[in-house]
This record gives sequence, structure tokens and C-alpha cells, in this order.
Amino acid sequence: MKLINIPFQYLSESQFARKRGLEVVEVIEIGKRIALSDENLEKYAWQLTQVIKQTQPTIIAIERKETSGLTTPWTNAEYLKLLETGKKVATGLGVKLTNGGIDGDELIVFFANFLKLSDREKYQNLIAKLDINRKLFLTNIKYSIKVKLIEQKLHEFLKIYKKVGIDFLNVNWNYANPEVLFEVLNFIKNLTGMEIISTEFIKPYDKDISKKLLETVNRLKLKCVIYYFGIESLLGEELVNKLGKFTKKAEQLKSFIWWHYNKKPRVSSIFTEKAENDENG
Amino acid sequence: MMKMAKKILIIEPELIYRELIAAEFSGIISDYIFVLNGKVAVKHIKQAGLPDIIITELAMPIMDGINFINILIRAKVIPRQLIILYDLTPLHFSYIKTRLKKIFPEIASWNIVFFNKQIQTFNNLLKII
Repeated sequence: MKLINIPFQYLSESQFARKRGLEVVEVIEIGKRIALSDENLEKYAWQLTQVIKQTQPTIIAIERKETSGLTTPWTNAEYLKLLETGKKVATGLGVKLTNGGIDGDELIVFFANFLKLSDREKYQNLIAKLDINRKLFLTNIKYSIKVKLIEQKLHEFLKIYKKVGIDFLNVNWNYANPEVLFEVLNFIKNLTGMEIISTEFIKPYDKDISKKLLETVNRLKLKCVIYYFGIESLLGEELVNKLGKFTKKAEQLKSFIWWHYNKKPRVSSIFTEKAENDENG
Repeated sequence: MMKMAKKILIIEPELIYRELIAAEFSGIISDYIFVLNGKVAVKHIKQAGLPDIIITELAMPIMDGINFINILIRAKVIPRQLIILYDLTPLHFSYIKTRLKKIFPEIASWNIVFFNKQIQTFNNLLKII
């Protein structure tokens, strides 16, 4: 019985990164829902211990697909048990624990609802900063039941995280608005008293907004942020000049990877393929 | 509105957009599935086959929309209809649209519609489908 889904490739990559002095966040994906008997929880704890011993992460993020919408296969009571067991194992091995990642939109909904009840003016200001669709979702009565459900679900999650005493609150952020990012995360940080991290933070294509988001992340003093480039394959263009050769930035990146990993970087961008082929003759 | 029997795959990482799309489809389209990124979409197509319509965001974690399109091209898979969602400034979008056509000349013959989430609400999606 496999309670944890981690492809072998990920384990070996984590081991590799760790050996080269990088700190690893290991995302623990929980498998198909089964009855959580004492015996199954023991097996889960054993599997978790093996993963931690093999990869020696700094943080483990226990994911139960809380990011995948309103319906999740595991109940809150079951997720609580999985997290509590995870906390016991992680603490015993000197590793920090976080959740799989709350959706940034859930936090926006939660914050908006809080303001709606407590400070009408601030609520209106927040709504004014949102895009047309988020505005519609939060203000049109048609979606009020969904808004309530999202708010209730997040409230339950936060109670679980508090009860377990996870070390960091993990947020997945995908909304390219620095002001909203600051207001929402600052609110959650103050409300829960927890340190916030993000194992999935989308950097938008727009350079100015991207820069402002990074400044906001620094202002919020987030302990750990793992960035994704929203349109990664197009940003690959920065690595290749007009002649199809690697730019200075690409060479620096290659040196970095050589230094950390002691192996040639594998470049998968559509744009860098030409430069890579030219380089290999 | 008439009920539609089309199979739709929607690749959308943002929760509120997924909820808005689901609300518009309610009672009209029932055979649809949401996935959160291109990687899961590829896995889904391998298992369930090509849907009638693919709706994809461009900016996503794990695998973005452009890499997803790249994989379709390499596998010689032509979507019957592809709706590309984006929330970029007009300047960035115009640049990306030009780049897309240049990188993937194959898509010139595809049935593609671009949908700007910053200025269009999702009730317009049904008109496109």
C-alpha cells in the first residue's frame, strides 16, 4: 500500500540537490484515500520517515490536494491525522513541516469577506484593485454561496494548521498584483501569527510587475519562496541572443548549475535548443 | 440555452476563474474537467483521449501553456478547438501572439480563439464554444 506518491526521479533530484548544499522542500503528495486505521497511520509514518531520511529536506510540505478546488478526497479529520503524524515524524527528525499550499484566491476571498464585515471602506478599496472577474466573483450574489464555501473551507484549514502547529503556512500565489499580495498576506500573517512561505509563487511575464512583486515578498519577509515563471518557455528568450547563441545571463546560469550540481545543465526551453545544438556542433 | 454534448478540457490554475467557468457551464455543459497545469493536461489526454475543446491558460506553474502547445505539436496532435486564456497587457499580448506564431508555424491552421480575462467575463466563453 502506497500512502505517499513521490516519483523516484524527484527523490534522486532532492538527494542530489541536498548533497550539493542546497536546502530542499520535499512535497509529500498523499495517495488515494483509504481508511486511516492505526496500522495504516503507522505505515504512513514509516514511509514518511524513509523519504525524509533519503532526501534530508529542510521542510516537508504535506499536500492533500487542498489546492485543487472545493472537493478533496480526504476529509478534514483525516487530513488532521495525516498532518499530526507528519508533525511527529518531522519533529523527531529535525525537519520543519508545512501544508501543501493554500490557493491565493482562497486567501483573497477570505480577506475580502473579513473586510466586508469589519471595514466597508477598505473592502471597497480592495475590490477596486481586483480584475474584472475576481470583482464579479466577490460582488455578484450569484456566487455568494461559493464565496461562503471557500471562506468556510479555508477557516477549517487554518484551524487544522493551528491545531497541528505546523511551522510555516504555505501559500500558492498566482495573482500579479503586488498591493493585493501585501494586504492579503500581511492580514493572514497577523491573523494566524504564523510565518508564511510559498512553494509555488508565479512570477508574471511583465517585468515591472514582477519586480514589484519581488519587492513585496521582501517587505513581507517571507522565509522561503519558490518561484515559477508564468510563461517560462517565452522567458527562455532571455537566455538566447539574436544570433541564437547563449547570452551572458545564460552562461552565468550554466556556471551556477555546474557549481552546484557538477553536471551540465539540461536546457529544455524551445528557444535555447538552437544555442545548445550550435554549441554541441 | 441548448445543452452541449462536447467534451472540454480546461487548464486553469486559478481557483476563482475555475469557479466562474463552472458557473457558466452549469446546466449547459456537463462533460468538462479542470486540470491545474499543462503537465496534468498531457497526462489526461494520454488517458482519456483528445477532447472536443481545449481551454488553456498561458501562464502556469509546472508546465505553461506554451510548452503544452509545443508537446501537442511534437506529438502531431491537432486540437479541434483551442481557446487560449490570458491576462496580459495588450502590449505584452500582442508580442506573445506574434512570438507564438513565429515559434509554432504549425498553429496557423489550427482553430484558435484568444480570450482576455482582464476585459472579458466568462459568459462570453459560451458564445465562442
